[in-house]
Amino acid sequence: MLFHSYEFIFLFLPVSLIGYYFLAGRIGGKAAKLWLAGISFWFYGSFRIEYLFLLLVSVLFNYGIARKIKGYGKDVKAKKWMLAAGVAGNLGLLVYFKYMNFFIENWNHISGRGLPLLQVVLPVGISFFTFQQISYLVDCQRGEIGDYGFVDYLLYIVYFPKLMEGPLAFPSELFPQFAEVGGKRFDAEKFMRGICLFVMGSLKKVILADTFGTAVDYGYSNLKLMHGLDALLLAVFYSLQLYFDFSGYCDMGRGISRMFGIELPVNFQSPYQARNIIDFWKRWHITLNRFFTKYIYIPLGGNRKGKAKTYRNLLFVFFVSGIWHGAGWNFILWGMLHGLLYALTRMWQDRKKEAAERSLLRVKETVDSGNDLWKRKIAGGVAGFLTFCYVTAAWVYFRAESVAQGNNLLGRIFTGGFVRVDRNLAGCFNLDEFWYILKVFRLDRWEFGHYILMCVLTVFALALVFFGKNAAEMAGRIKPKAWTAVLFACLLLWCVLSFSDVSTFLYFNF
Amino acid sequence: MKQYKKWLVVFALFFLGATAAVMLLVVYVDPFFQYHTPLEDFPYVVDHQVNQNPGMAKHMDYDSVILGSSMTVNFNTGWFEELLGLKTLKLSYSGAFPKDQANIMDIIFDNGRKVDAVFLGIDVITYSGGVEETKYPVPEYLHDDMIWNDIPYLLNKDVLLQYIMRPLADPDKTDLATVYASWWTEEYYNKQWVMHNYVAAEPAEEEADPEKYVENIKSNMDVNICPYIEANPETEFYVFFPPYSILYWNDVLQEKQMEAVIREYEYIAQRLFSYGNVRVFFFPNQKWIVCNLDNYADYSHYHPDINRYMTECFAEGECEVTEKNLEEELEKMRQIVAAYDFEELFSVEY
Repeated sequence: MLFHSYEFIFLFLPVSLIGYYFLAGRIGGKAAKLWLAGISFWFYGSFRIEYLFLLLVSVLFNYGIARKIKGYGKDVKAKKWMLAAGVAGNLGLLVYFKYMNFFIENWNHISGRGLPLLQVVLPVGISFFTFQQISYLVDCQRGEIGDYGFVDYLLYIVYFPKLMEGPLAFPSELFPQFAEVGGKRFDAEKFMRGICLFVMGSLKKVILADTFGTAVDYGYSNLKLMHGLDALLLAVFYSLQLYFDFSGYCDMGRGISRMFGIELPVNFQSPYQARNIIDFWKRWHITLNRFFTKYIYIPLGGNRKGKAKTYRNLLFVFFVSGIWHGAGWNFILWGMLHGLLYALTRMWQDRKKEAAERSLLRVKETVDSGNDLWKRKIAGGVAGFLTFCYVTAAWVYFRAESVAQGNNLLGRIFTGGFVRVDRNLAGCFNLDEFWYILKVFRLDRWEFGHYILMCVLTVFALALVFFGKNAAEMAGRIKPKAWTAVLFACLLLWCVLSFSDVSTFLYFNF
Repeated sequence: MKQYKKWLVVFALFFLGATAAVMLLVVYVDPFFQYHTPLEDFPYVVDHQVNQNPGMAKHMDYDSVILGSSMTVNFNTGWFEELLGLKTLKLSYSGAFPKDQANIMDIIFDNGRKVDAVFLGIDVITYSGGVEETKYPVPEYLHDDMIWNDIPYLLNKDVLLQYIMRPLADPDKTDLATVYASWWTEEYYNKQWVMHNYVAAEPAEEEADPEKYVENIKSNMDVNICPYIEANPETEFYVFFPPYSILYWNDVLQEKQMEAVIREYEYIAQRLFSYGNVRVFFFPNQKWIVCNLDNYADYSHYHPDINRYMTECFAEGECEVTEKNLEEELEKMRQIVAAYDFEELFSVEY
């Protein structure tokens, strides 16, 4: 069951909310939490019932390990060994389901042997719930987590608004909120803002991401027909698709969670408005980035062991990030492209900082003259544009089925020749609801009429990602007027009417 | 706080009200014919076999049906009325597998509906697949009678815009007599076009076992076809094998499975002979059709004139095969293929 499905909107969500508030109000917090955990199992089991069994085993295993770790008290060595066993168990599960075939394929390639591939289906959301559990074990070992019961732990892992694609919440963010369940009254404002965020996330996913996605799928499966401009557009379209898809999902998840009165951490902060790659990673998939920082980068020494090791650590983190996103060399290449630019930017920033310190001149803060302000704005704009270009080029490998296909697409941008955009590629944007408007104005008969919607939607989407506000920010400003209620009801209905032909979320497989 | 509660109430009422309005509109017009017979004055567009055939089978008025693949789309049901006096409904599925036929027959014969005749085109190639295989995913909710799972139909942008709004704005009512007809216009039916687009099958190294496909064909007949013939003894089944062009037989030769394919025809026909309510028509050995590539738009799809000829055969009993003449007809087929000068055909650049 997807968030953008009829059964979710008309059955699952209303039943979940009614049951939750009824139990929280009449019986108590624990019953409401058990209810939330129960419906989360329903949600997860709807994808495939075997997955549910795996999730349950994983939760019980980790809770047992966590109890053991806590039970060792001050015996640091025993705690570390138990933690190692727990982490190994989680990574083992992840390797088996996600990476084993990648290893077998490479081994076969190197050794020339023909080991058979495993016939396993990747359980949805496994990378997310596995990392979430590792995070819990590490925090237990470090003594950062208080004594919470099994129900809280269970809910922390299986809570459905974040189960499939994150955000990766830290225990410290959710446990205190779980403790308040049942103690607080229904918050109508929070509920309303949750609905607004959910609707805006749906629009991003169902209307924008899926439209760009249709074009991207067409382009990638007809790569031979793509000329230079088509290839360039294809790369941009995928950048937009991925952002609207993933951030749309997170907005929906956060919106749903808000309806239950629980805040999930922010995962996206207008990432394409970043001025450099370091800034980008403070805005894109924020919770994964901070997870890697806390559990990999800092334990490796972070920036405390000299410059060389700092850059090495950064590269390693991006290598892990690449492989976390997918079992393929293209994902590793994508991770390393980010890692390389990240390390170089860091080097550049370090040098600038040192140079400023060496000069011994304390530069007084002066008010920018109008001229300087403009210069800085233009420089910022150029930096943002270049960052977007680099990120977009790297995304090509993220979407491609192989490194060779990624090279092919990027190569076509420069060697494919610039002719009019492929008619079928442009046709992917001709949504019926907009197409009728063109027909009314007879623009459909114009020579370039077929391309109007592609241009309009692309420009709109680019303007939104470069200059627009976050959905969360916008949801926070909606006035509780009758017309906004009607507007959001119409927008939700538009999404619902578009459900039948929409694809699955891109991040499910990560 | 009151204003937020009011917002929630307005939102919920408007959303549910608008949703209900859309659903009622779809139920009233019912462009997929799921709930009632078509409205008299609505210009229905019928162009989607997978979504619209089940409803047509449920609620249209008919006494006979045409079933089969794209080999059947060019039949004009007016001919059936003219030559056989039947009110025929065309329920073709392009690329249909036997399971697709079984699925639609489930609806046709549902609740003991009486049907005088079924015209079933059999493409042997699809009968060697799995018994559960269908060409496209089956929209189960359109095949069953449960209303609660119809939401993807009732709340669907395509249904609303393409099948309700578009016909209203730009009426072009589909003529059910020619529904699903192929897009090829007259000029596409010529040898030059066919040969230009033809890509021969990859040659096989070894001769195929003549019994290669029999097991799967038997399963398909057992599960997807014969039970419907047995359960409806009052319905006359006109089962026919369409005439693919000689290029199809070139592929068969390339793949070294001449005898395996002939055996497919033989097995299916023999199974059907055991039923008193089945008549079998064999068109593949009509030399004047298959050897003239001007009758085709590609290696297998023939001109609507051939559909007309087949309808005449159904009415007059020509090209019908029985236990007595089956082997003779199959031998004719072998001879046509053996005698055909493929070298000459491929010696010219098209």
